[in-house]
Amino acid sequence: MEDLLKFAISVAQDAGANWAEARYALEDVTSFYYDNNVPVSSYYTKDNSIFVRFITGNSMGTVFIPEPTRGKIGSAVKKQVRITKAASRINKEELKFSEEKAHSKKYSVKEKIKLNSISDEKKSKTILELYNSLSKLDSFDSSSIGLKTKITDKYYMNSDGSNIHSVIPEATMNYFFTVKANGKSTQRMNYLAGKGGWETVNNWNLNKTLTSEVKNLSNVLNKGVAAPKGVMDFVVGHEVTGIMVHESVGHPYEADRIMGRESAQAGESFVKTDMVGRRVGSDYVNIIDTSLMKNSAAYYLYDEEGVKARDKILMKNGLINEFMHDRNSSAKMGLTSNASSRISDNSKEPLIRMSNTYVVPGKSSESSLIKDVKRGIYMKNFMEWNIDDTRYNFKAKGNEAYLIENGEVTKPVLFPNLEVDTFKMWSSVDGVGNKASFGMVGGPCGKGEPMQGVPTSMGGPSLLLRGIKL
Amino acid sequence: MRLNAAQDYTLKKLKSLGAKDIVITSHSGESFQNKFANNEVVANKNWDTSSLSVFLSIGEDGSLKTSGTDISYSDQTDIDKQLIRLIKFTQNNPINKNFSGLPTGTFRYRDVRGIYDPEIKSLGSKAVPILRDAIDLANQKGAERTAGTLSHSYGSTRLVTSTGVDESYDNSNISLSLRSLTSDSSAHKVCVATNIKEFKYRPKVIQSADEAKLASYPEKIKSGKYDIIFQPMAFANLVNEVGRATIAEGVETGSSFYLNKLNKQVTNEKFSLFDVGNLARGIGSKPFDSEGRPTKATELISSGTLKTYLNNSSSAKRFKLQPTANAGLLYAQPSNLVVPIGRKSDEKLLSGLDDGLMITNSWYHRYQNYLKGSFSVLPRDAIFVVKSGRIIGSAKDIRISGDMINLMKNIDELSNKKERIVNWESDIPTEVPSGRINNVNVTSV
Repeated sequence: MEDLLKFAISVAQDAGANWAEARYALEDVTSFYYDNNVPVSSYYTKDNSIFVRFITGNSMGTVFIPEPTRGKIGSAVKKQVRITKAASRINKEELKFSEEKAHSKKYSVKEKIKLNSISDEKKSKTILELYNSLSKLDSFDSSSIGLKTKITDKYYMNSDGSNIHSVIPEATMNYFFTVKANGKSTQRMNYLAGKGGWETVNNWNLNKTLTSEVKNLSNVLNKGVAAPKGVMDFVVGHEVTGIMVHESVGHPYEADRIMGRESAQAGESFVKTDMVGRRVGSDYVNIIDTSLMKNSAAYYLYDEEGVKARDKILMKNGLINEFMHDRNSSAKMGLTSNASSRISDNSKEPLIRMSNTYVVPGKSSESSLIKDVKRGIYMKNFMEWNIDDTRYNFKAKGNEAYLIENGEVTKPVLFPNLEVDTFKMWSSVDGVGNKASFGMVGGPCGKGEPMQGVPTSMGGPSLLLRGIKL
Repeated sequence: MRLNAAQDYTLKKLKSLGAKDIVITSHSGESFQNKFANNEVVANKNWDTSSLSVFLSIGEDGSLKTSGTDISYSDQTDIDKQLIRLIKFTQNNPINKNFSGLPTGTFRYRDVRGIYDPEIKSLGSKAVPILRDAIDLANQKGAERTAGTLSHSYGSTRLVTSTGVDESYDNSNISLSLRSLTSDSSAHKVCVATNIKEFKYRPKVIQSADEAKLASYPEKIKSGKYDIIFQPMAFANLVNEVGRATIAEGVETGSSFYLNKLNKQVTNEKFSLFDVGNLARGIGSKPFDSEGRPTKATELISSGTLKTYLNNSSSAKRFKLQPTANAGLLYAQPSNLVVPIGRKSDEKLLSGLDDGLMITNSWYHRYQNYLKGSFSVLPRDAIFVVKSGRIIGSAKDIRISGDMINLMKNIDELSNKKERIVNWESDIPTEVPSGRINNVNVTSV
């Protein structure tokens, strides 16, 4: 395999590229999808492909070849170098990459229970048994549940001398269900993801987790009162903390977005390159993005440019601390990359992406945060959410949520809106929960043209937000 | 093996292994994309899009098991191994009671006019001057920066089935997606065509730059109810949501707001919607669907009334509907969504708006409850404030919320000019005019 990658790099260089990288991936996927108790989709694939990226002149070119052979690689890469050279003449700026150390490394994620030791039948039955269990609950109406396992065996080489071989097993589940009670309905959509063997699926405690979610939402429908109006305090659980972090801190701190590279579709950022050190949140807020969280949705040791991963401290005591970078954006800012370059699959160009992004826990228990609220909302999770394309105008609409009255959670409340701008949101943080309230939740994150959905996770502890208009 | 030979061999082999329903789709082709930002070309991408995919069932009618895979087709021995594995994989599956077999009968196919242009296949680096022209033109017209993609692709698709279908077609498309930006505003336009001759991108580029300039100095506005003109790109995003809600399988699983709405009013009577699988020069057109049914036009919403759900053969049977030829082997798939035009020109639509907004694009349409269609979405790019039929300024930081059925019932007018839209939010090819919707809930942060 390494010979094929070396060949691809040499073809690019011989054709005029001054830098090149190539990666080969064998992606072994098994997937099951059920609508209620019907297995509407069952498929597996074992795709092998090569992706080549190179710089020539002032622009970058990429080539994707399934079932690669020397012949296919040779002709496709030469042709694309010619096209890239022609396009490069439009450019006025030099395309720079940061200088990075070359690494030679092999690593893998350990599977306590190997994914391939689990029969297809058992994988499929995992969903069916979950459905059968949920369908016994009175208020449960319907569900769509998908389970995918994937093992990616990948070789990466670049013309700087990096040579990285990784074997990453992973499991993901997305589920969507409807609960009906008291003449009303609500729905829940969630995504679970982790790197590792079948123990990843076991650790999700699917029956217990989803049964609890159905019951809690049923309680909201049966006993929920209308959301109050006015200015009040919010205590948000880790899922809401996660979406706040992901949408209004993670995305706007992606340096490619800040510099306009993604502005056509994924959008830009309210953050500018000169805003490092600027206050955007209260002293309580510290936020980290890391790929080094073991068995996490976005675990990796080396990014898709061969750069060694490290924690990225995005916000420190409410101040912008650093952005997420690849080799191009970091060179533009006179920095080195912090290994934020990722892909969704082997056919896509690397882009700056979040990995696992979270608020660092504080010292307060969740109950003490709630005790500190005279009248407010405890929002445990959400359904609808969105944010504008500069990551300023945020909304999450509560799904499982409760009133807080005189420091106590009282009755369920129907679907309150957390609709607030990013500055106000992070400046209003007046308390950060401790490790006991900490949690992470998966999220497939979209960006790029064509769209790339990469597994990420997001979370943190419970937070106390003061003075939110409802 | 060569792709077509591998396809024929796979069909024969699967039959010998006892598969009942077999669908094998091959595709060969290429896609190209030049991505630009800040007036610079940041990536030039090329994909070999060749593939050989298989769907099959085993068992008896009424108790069929199904599965699918992509076949690595270079070596016959390797194909054999993969197919034996596929049969075993399928045998281990539970019965897919939703699947009731492929359609049978004799179908007559017609070529769809204008969906392939050999000039696109040979475009290569000749796309670069188009890209340069688009960027330069936007800048000449006042854009400070541009960002977007110039994409083109071509391919040949062949379908063979166990029911005797053996049909193929060639298609191609070219598209420019361009966002013009100033220091405080932007406007985004797309131009999509199946052939070079109809790829008239320059007017779109000029419109993008003009609207970006016109939207400068945006201001916050008050939350409240507004009458809003949705320009085609913003309207297409709504129509995509409506089109997706007509998919039969989505209705069954709670991800549609059209449950129990057949033959009921779901939009204003001024609005109708067709899915046209064989639309001449349509981006999503093809002569046959994934089960081999000849594609056709289907009226989904007729003067406000929902007439059918998009289906494949199996979901048509479950819902007791006429097949719409929109398979998707798993789910029905819209092909080209077409909204018939109204009577007023775009200019008259604007001059008839006494007090409201005109939005040009939107993103991040999300639902709180798909059954109810309760949603919110963010207008992006130019948002114009309109008084007495004239644009008097621009707005920012707003969100639209509501429920889809009431929103679509509040359609008041459609313009008499259609545009073809395919973009990030509207991934279903859509041909729509501008639409005026009254009494829309707008919030401002």
